[in-house]
Amino acid sequence: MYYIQSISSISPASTFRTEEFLSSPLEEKEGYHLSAIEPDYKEFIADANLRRRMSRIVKMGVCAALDCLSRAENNNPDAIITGTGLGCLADTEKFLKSIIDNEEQLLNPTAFIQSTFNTIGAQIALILKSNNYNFTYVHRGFSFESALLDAMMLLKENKAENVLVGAMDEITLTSADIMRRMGFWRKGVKMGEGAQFFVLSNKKSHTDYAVIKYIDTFLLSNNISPEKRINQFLERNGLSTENIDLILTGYETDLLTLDSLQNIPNASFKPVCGEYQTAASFGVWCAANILKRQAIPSSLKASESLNLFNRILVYNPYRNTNHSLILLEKA
Amino acid sequence: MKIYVTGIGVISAIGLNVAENLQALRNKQSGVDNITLIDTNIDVPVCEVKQSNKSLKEILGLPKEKTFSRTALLGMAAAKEALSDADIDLSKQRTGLISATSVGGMDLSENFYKTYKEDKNKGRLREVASHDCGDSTEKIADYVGITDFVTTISTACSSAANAVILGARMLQNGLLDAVIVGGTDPICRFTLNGFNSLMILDKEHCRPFDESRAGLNLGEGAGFIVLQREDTLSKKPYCELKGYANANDAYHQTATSPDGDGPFLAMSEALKSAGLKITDIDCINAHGTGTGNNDLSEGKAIKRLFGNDIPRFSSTKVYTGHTLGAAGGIEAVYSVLSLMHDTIFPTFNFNTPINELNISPETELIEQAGIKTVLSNSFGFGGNVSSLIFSSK
Repeated sequence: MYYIQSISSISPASTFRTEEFLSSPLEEKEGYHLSAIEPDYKEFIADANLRRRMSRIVKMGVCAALDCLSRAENNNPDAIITGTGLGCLADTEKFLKSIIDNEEQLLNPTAFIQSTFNTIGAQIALILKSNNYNFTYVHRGFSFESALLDAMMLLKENKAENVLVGAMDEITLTSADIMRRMGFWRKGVKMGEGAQFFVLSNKKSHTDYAVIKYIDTFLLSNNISPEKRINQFLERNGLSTENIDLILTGYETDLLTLDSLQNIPNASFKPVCGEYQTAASFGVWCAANILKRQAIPSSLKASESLNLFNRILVYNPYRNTNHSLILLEKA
Repeated sequence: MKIYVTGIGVISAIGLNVAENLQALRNKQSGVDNITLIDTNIDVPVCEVKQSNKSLKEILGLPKEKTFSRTALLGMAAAKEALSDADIDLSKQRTGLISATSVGGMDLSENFYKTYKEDKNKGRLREVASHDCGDSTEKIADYVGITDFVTTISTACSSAANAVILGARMLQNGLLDAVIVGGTDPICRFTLNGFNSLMILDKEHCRPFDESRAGLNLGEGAGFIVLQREDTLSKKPYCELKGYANANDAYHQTATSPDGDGPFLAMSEALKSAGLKITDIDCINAHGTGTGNNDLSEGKAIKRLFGNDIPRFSSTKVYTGHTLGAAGGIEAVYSVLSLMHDTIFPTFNFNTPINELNISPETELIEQAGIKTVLSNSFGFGGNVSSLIFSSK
């Protein structure tokens, strides 16, 4: 069993360090993207020089990670596993720009150093002085899912008793502009960003949020429909659609095209967090909250009124190519 | 549960396939040369795969008009060779692809950005669509026919070794029956300028573990191996993946701790996971990049762990340069070749031991070397350190 001991989120909604759960209604915002509401980082990253060197994604990731650990009263997790779809975009662009502007002469290496995809996992390890297992996954809509799968395997293998696992992505002006040019936003879902972290443990405690039971990822292929894959996933784990109280989906409305899933109540999390490669981590953050509080906020737009939650399936089809299924249960 | 290597594939500056690489390794032929494929003012030697993207596409039988990152093209060549070698029936075995890269499709996005920077409405979008690391992995998966599982790892220069570790664990957990694991990285202006700004590129051929060493030579390529479980073997395996470990040095974003704490931990935990003693290791394929920092701290860690019983060791980066996210994959292939042919591939340009260490890598090709177990190290930025142990016992 994989118990969620603590959670933390920095997102476009007020999610960081609040006892509320998406209680304020969604504000309609102009433009193509939803920016994260960033906290004052001083408390978590005290060193001003360090803070200045860190780009937004690094600060968001490190801060959510440290908050999550402090909530679990853990300062030395057995493993640190992160996922990111596009990594440190701002630093990547900064270094690219300096290569051109300075014609490859006398470049400052800081942006290059900070641009690597494992920067957040590395910074967390540095701050905690942790020599433990440390991994970074970077596969589009599977980045967070791979990190979670790895964490679950570590707990199952008894190589860890508790794991810090999370994911983050950032929007930059350039990435938002390029995605707009690519026509990513025709369907009305805005681009988003954020960082979500979780402490998973193989030991039950009375403050657990929820239990993660199963995970699966698949590439959409011509041979097999998402519907069939979802049914296979449930069947393989001894479940049917009747056992699912809610599908929390990354779709807006497309889920309704999947016939056999139509009878399950559904809700969607991307209107709140926006679309990004690791948005499923926000879906899991929502599911954990719903299972613990036994209530669902209106901003998640549930298809019917619900007040009892035993099992939630987070289904995220990232750009309809990377599909992921994460099943959570009440702790 | 035992994990075996049943297929190998590699493309690097010293050859487009396993046979060519093996021949160059035996003949002490390095791939180090002047830069010919990228437009840059930086004047350092590198280890390029001397094929343009156009000719790589031809070799791979891909449509001329389609755009592929070099990362994907190099990866396709090596993954295809490894999968064919393992002779797996993909319809019967749940087969995954776990790839690693440090830059993803940067080789194309840096072209895009140059144009885009001048005019936000310009720049070919197909050159930035492959920017993320997952793109190359999905292109490789599509090319070799993998649909069951894909993911991508990026932990700087230890990336591909971590792909090997994840693959082994997924087999042990029964999530897959077979898995192609490794990494791919092209040389691009971004990394060339990055390492140049850190002042760790040697102006001459790199000299791992040598007192005179002055940095690394960047290389490019891809290396993949196929892993299967004892109960899913489709042929007689080359060797066993006996153990592995991943740790973090937690010292500095780019430098290794002076006493090599992370490398020491990775190697000793790998031994533990393999259930082996230090005397069981016959040979080390060292990370040995040729930088002042790496070789000193790796050497110290080796001395600390092995004491007076330091096994024969070598860095094959004198052949291939440092291929970053691909290094762990390419060197996994070389470790398997070492076991298959009972041969140690030398650090042939070594002259003078580092004063503080006084240890020397092998400088001559050793055949009938009597090696049954090889330890392969991969260390990276962000303190990510990993060690793999292959055994033919």
